[in-house]
Amino acid sequence: MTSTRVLDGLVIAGLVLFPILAPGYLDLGTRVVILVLCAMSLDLLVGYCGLVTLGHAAFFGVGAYTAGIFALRASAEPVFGLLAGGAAAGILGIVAGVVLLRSRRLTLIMLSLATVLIMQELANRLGWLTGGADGLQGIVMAPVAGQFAFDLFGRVSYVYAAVVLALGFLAFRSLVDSDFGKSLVGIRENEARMRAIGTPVDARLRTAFVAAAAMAGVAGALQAQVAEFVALNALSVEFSSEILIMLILGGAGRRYGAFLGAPVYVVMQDYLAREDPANWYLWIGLMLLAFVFLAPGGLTAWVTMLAQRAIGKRR
Amino acid sequence: MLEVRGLSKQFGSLEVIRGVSFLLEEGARCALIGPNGAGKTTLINLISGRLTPSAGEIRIAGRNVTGVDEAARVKAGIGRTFQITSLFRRLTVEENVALAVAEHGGTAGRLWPNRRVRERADARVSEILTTLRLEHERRRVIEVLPYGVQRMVELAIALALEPRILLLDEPAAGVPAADVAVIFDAIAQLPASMAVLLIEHDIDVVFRFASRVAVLVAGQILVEGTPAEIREHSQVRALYLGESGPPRAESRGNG
Repeated sequence: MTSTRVLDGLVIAGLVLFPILAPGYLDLGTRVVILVLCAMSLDLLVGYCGLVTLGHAAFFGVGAYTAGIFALRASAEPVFGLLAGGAAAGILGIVAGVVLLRSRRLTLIMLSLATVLIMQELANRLGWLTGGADGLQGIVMAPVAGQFAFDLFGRVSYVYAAVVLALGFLAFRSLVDSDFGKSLVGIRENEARMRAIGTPVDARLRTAFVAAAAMAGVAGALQAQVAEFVALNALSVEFSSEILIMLILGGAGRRYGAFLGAPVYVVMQDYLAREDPANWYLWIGLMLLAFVFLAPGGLTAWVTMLAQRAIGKRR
Repeated sequence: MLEVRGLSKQFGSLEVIRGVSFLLEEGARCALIGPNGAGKTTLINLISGRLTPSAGEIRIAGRNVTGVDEAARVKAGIGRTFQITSLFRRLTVEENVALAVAEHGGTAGRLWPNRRVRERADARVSEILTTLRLEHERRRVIEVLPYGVQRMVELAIALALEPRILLLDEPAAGVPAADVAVIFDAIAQLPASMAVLLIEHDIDVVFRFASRVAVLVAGQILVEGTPAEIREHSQVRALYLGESGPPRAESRGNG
């Protein structure tokens, strides 16, 4: 479809224009870019497969820790670390897929929750490897591809993260536009019917799990590399739910949900934490409630509706 | 083509199917009738692999598929429709059929889009929709469509799988009388080589469609024969035809 092509172009244009329009906010931009990548990977599961999980931080965190440990003990080259983080999370995705996909809905949420808690406790206990509660410190990254050294202003960090997000988006786009992606939507809409047309449902979902996990792992690796630090918080239920909130805010299963949800969430969080540091979580909660009731499809659905009104082609 | 031998299904202490055996030849037009609760849908569920039999054997073209799961049985050649429509309600007609086309064409596992694959699939979807005269509904979402059209989409999905054996579970259940003819016209035009097993309450339709009729009562095949033989069978008249009054007046939509 041509409209998605235009919007895909806008997404890339936004990534390119941001540092030019807001050069003073590169750190914030990098943070958002990483969160978009993570929320986008979660969208594969929540939006396209219809599998709601609170375990996504497990993949992000494993990616982050792997990249951090890789930098400390193997190679400080960021690209290798990125691949290592993605691979480690992907392997966890294979295991999680086999174990978690026996369940659906509430049971799946509980099991995914348990997965994160276990991973977090593991990271906490294995202090010699992960730094335990103090986080993984002392990471020093080499220049990206041996060429671009990370600078104080965060320019290289932003460009590096943005390029990875753009590649991630290309992969995401390819997945959701493929027959595979459509069959995921079919499973979301009517799993029993998919079995009756011959779909190996479990295998499909496992593949989606691995793809989502690997992508989240890459996001985690990026985080570890640009921050040169991994906090235990990367493996928390709290972070899992934040990612889920961003996605729902933006609109799950709507291709651009992560691109709208993550920046809006981060900007609001920054603003509210500054204006009302004691109660900002309350405001975030109220805002989320308002969204669920007033714009069930998230910002994406809302923007689409406004755009359609503006063009005047209502159904 | 399809051979069922000594098939039984127990739910707890309740035996719903009791030692059913039959043979469906290539190109067969067979109907399964029987009173409500006789186990007709359970039998279809056993053959399609939705339920696991307690005993017995199911063979497709000589191959034992009793232990094979539902999805794999589709690949082995079994297609079915559901008595209560089971569609992708928030997707369009063409998207519904395209899912089946992709699965049957073996492209549903591909991780990236491919223009040639898509064009071929689109053409196949169009072909199926044209055959069933659904072309004009193509871009409409299922949940806004009249029930009769939804039933046609059920059929379209089944046809997209090009099954060797097609199990039709009351394809016109719940459809307003005026639209029933369209559905049975489509069924009458199914490819000749396809073996079809039809569950249907409307006796007129059954006798017009089928060359063989089996009567299922309380989980057992009471009698099996040509429509003429069934029509004359005294027990069938008493148990089934007599019990439910004039066949036309039989209520649709459950059983």
